[in-house]
Amino acid sequence: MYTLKKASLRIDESYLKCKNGCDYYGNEEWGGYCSKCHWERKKEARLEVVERGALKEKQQQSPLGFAKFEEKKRYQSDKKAKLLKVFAKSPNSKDRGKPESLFGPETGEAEAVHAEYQELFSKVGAKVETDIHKCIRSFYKKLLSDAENPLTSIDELSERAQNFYQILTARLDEENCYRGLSSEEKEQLIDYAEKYAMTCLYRILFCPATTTDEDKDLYIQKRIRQLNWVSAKHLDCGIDETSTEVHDLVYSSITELLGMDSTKAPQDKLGCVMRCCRKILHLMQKCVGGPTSADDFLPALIFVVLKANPARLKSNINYVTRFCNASKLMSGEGGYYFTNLCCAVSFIENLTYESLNMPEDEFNQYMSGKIIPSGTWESALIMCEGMHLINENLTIFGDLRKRHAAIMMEIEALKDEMIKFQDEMLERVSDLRENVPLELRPIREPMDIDAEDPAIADLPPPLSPQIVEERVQQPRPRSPRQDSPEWQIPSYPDEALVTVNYDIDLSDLSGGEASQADDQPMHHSLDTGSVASLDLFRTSPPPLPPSNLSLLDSNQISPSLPSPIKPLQSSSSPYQGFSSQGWQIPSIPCDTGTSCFEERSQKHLHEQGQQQLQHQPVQQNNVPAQDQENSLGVKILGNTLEALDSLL
Amino acid sequence: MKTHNNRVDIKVVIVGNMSVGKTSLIQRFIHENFKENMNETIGAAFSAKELTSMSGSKRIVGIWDTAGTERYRSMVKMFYRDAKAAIVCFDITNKSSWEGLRSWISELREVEENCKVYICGTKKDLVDEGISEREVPLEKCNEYARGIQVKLLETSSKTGENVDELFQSIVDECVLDESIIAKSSLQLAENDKRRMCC
Ligand SMILES: Nc1nc2c(ncn2[C@@H]2O[C@H](COP(=O)(O)OP(=O)(O)OP(=O)(O)O)[C@@H](O)[C@H]2O)c(=O)[nH]1
Ligand SMILES: [Mg+2]
Repeated sequence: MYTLKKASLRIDESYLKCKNGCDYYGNEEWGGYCSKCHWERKKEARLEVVERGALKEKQQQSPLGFAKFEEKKRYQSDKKAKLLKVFAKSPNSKDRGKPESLFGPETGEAEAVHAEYQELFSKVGAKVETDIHKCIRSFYKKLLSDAENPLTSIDELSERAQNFYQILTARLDEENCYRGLSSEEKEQLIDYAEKYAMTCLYRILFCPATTTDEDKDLYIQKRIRQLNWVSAKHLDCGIDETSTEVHDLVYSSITELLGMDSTKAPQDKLGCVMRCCRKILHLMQKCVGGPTSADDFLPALIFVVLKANPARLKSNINYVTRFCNASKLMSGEGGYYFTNLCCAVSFIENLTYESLNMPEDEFNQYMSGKIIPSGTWESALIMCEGMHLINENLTIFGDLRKRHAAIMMEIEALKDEMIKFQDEMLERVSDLRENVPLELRPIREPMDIDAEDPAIADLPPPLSPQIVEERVQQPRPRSPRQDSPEWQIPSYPDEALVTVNYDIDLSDLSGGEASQADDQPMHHSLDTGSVASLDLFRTSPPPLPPSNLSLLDSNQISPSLPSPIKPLQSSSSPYQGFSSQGWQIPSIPCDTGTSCFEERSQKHLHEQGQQQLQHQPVQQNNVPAQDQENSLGVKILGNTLEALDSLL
Repeated sequence: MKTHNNRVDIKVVIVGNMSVGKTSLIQRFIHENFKENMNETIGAAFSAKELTSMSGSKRIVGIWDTAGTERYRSMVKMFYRDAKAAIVCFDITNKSSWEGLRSWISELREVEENCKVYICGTKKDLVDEGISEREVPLEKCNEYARGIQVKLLETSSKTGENVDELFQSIVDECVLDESIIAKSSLQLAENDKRRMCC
């Protein structure tokens, strides 16, 4: 395609041009006319239709293609009427003010556009905002459904968009809710509508599959790449190659032009072109030494376009041409620059050795890459495109790296959380395990122990209702004697007592269970240690009065003080007596230093082992008891409690 | 970029052969000055100015300078789009520029039918002061302009003679046109309504 074009460019050109002879390119889609002439023809056709009023007749007369075209036309004007109707609805209908909810993937960007115009909306009021959003929404829906139909050409969509701008402009002048707005505010509103709608529709309207935009993009990109040897001198462009300031301006205008592809709203794209061109004007002013005229400007722009080789250049140009509000922008400064850009692209497309004022062979040699221009600035600019690519990729990599780091951090956080969770769970499980076996085992083991020790425990009589009574009274006399050091005696009897301890422990528990049959088991189990100890000294009042005092201390220190009382409450009336006294107990031992000490020792024991933790206080408490009496005595107590159990 | 900052009501495009004084004309109109010693490239590519029409309504005129250099000649067509008026310049001291006039006008008519054409003979001061010889007789110009129903003015960017008048007449006529279009479109709309009713 390219070589063919080069060979007979002049002829081809006219062939490609619009049938009307204007400089725009014709398109087969548009019957060989350019978009503008095609439109014009359409408009004329519509007018004719309206004037004659006999549509059907006309359809029969006209050739098939035209009939089809008219049909479409009619369909389209129907739609337009609908669009108008929608607009004509009263603005008071209960629509939401913001149409965000409607626009799926672009919601974020649409919101950003909305935020950009926040100031405007705070000025014009909510009613206007609601109405304009309603218009945008109806347009959006319509265009979206139209776009879904593959028969709708991009040109029709473009016409629809331009109609939307026109209708909206008219509406702003006619509707009541817009009365009192300044013309500037109205313009901003239209601008907003355009930006908002186009940002949302960009996905569909930019470089659509129904057009050849993409092919053209690739063609022009390739062409520019081939022309990278073209210098400012070739173009008769007065860019001063020696000044670094000029270099910077060239680079920054290239950057602006490249930015066009990354914006979405047509006016933003136009803004990029404008900024680029202003930089060029500024640059030419530097080079020429006066205000820049078109004669300097166009070559410089061509030069910049050649050096920038912007991505999807044709698509961007077509998109702006189709969907930028023509009435507002195309005749303004932006329009001027945009037209110049189109000129530049057209120049590049049709560039021959003649347009560069050079011999044909030289041109061909350059094009085939046989000659490469010298000069650092030129080669620097040739590198420019590559550099930009590198930069673009670097930013992409940078972004990826950032995202990767973020993901890694999240992974770390998640890991920490999981570990934490695991620890927590383990702790809770071990907590539970501490408690649960104590609760469950006692039920089974008493039987075992019973079986083991019947020989020793041949003392059935010590059933002791009296003991129980005594128990009640014991706490009082004992409390003052807490200071007694006996409980401090180290754990040397521990090993000897292991079995005994179990006995006591179990019996205690069983006793507890017995007494607490209807009480909450959990509560009980948590405090088994304390309960056990309490029970223990309760059952052994006469033989070991002083030793048990310390035991009591430990119970009181532990925060679960009330629990030991509970069993007493539930068991029988004498217990209640105790419980009433028991409430006063805590205050007494708190003052004693020993209590602290014991707690510390308890803590120490805690560390020694989890399972034994519960037994430890019991052991310790038992130590003094054991000292004075012996394990037998304790066992007796256990048995006694069991007996009590059974009794209860 | 906010569009309201560069709103333009009337787009005027200026064409003509190289060095006829297009840029100087714009420069004169916008900045009310003239720089004789500046090379062929003076002025701004795009400029805008607000003018008040006879009827009192204000319009912003956007002036599009074009490149007269031959190699960009074919590109100039692109600038015609949506132009309300075009000023076709020729140098009254240069016969070849007058000869180029026809092609510019025919091209304009072809591409942008509705664009009003104004012929502007530049460098009037040179003839008035006897510095240069007039190569294009005034009668010939007038005859031609009348023949194609186009307004003609001879201007001097140096003295400013007829420059403001040229642009003023453009604005006046455009505003007049607007009101005519508005009226006719109103009628059209009414017709439409009537048709809809049936
Ligand atoms: N005396 C006099 N000189 C003029 C007048 N208009 C333009 N010139 C001179 O004519 C020369 C060309 O003027 P430009 O304004 O650059 O012409 P142009 O049409 O823009 O030329 P290109 O942009 O190259 O196509 C300059 O040297 C101006 O000083 C005029 O009215 N009187
Ligand atoms: Mg000029």
